[in-house]
Amino acid sequence: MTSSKKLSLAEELLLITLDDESGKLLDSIKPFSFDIAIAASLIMELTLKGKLDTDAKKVFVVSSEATGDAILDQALAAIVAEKNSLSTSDWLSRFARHGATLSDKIIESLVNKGVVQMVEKRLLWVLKTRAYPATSGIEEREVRSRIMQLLNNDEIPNPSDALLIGLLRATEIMSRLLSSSELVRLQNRIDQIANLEEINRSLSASVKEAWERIISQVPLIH
Amino acid sequence: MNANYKLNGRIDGSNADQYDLEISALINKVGPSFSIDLSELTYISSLGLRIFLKTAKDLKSQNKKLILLKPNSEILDLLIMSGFDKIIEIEK
Repeated sequence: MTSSKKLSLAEELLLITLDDESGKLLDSIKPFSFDIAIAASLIMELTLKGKLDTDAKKVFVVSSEATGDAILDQALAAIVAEKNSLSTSDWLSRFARHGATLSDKIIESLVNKGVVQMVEKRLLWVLKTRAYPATSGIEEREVRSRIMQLLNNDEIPNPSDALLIGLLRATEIMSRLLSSSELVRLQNRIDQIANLEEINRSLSASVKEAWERIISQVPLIH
Repeated sequence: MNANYKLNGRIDGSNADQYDLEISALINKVGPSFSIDLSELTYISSLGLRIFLKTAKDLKSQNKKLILLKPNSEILDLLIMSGFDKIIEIEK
C-alpha cells in the first residue's frame, strides 16, 4: 500500500498551490502574498520544532540547535545572529525577500522526496520551462482531506493544522479548495482556526499591509 | 471553584514543555472538567498558549472540558484576541 510522506508546512503549502495539470504555481496566487506565506512557514515550522517562540511583539530563540533541515537551519541561524529583537512581521518581511529562492528549494525537496517530479518542457522549441506534476497525488489528497475534515467539524485543531489553515487563508487558496458557497459557510471556521496562532495573525496583517502598499503605488486614473 | 492546577509567572518556550508534561499527567485523573488557575500567570507566549489547546483537545477526546480560571486582564485580552474563549471555557 502506498502511504503519504511526512511533509513540512512549506511543502504542504507548495503542494496545494501547484496546479494539478501543469505542476506550476497557480496563476491566481499573488506572488507577494505567496512569498510572505513561504517566509511564515519557516518560522511556523521552527516553532513546531521547539526552536522558536513568539508573542505579539517578538520572535525569540528557544534553542539554536540545528534541525538538520538546511532551509530551516538557515532561517534559524539568521534569527539567532540578529542582535535586535524583531517581531514576527519583521522576520516575514526579511525572509519574504528570498521567497523565490525558498520556493525553488522547497520544490527541490519535494522532488527529492518523490512527491512531485520535475518535467522540462520547451516552448517554441527554444525556451526551456519546468513543471512539477505530482508523482502519485496521494500527499496532496491527504492534505486536502485533512483540511476539509477539520473545517467541517468542531474539533480543536493541532498546531500544525491551525498554522496550515493560516497559510492557506493568507494566500487566498481557500477559494480554489472550496466552492464559493462552501467558502461563505466555512469562513468563520477558517478564521477561528487561523486566529488561534499568533503567526497566522501576523501573516495576515503583513499580507494586508503589502497589498495596501502595492495599491498605494498604483497611479489613480481620472 | 477549586483549580486542579495553578500556573504562576511566565510561560514560554523555556518551560512550556515542563508544564505540558505536568498537566498531561493530571488530566486522566480528573472528573468531567479540568481547571487551571491563571490568577498568578503574568505572561504567556505562543508555545504556552498551545498547551491550553492541546489540553483542551486531549480532554475533549475523553468527553471532558478545560476551564481557565481568573486570568488577569492582559492574559484575558490575549485569550479573547486569539479566539480561545470560543473554544475553552474561561471564568473571570
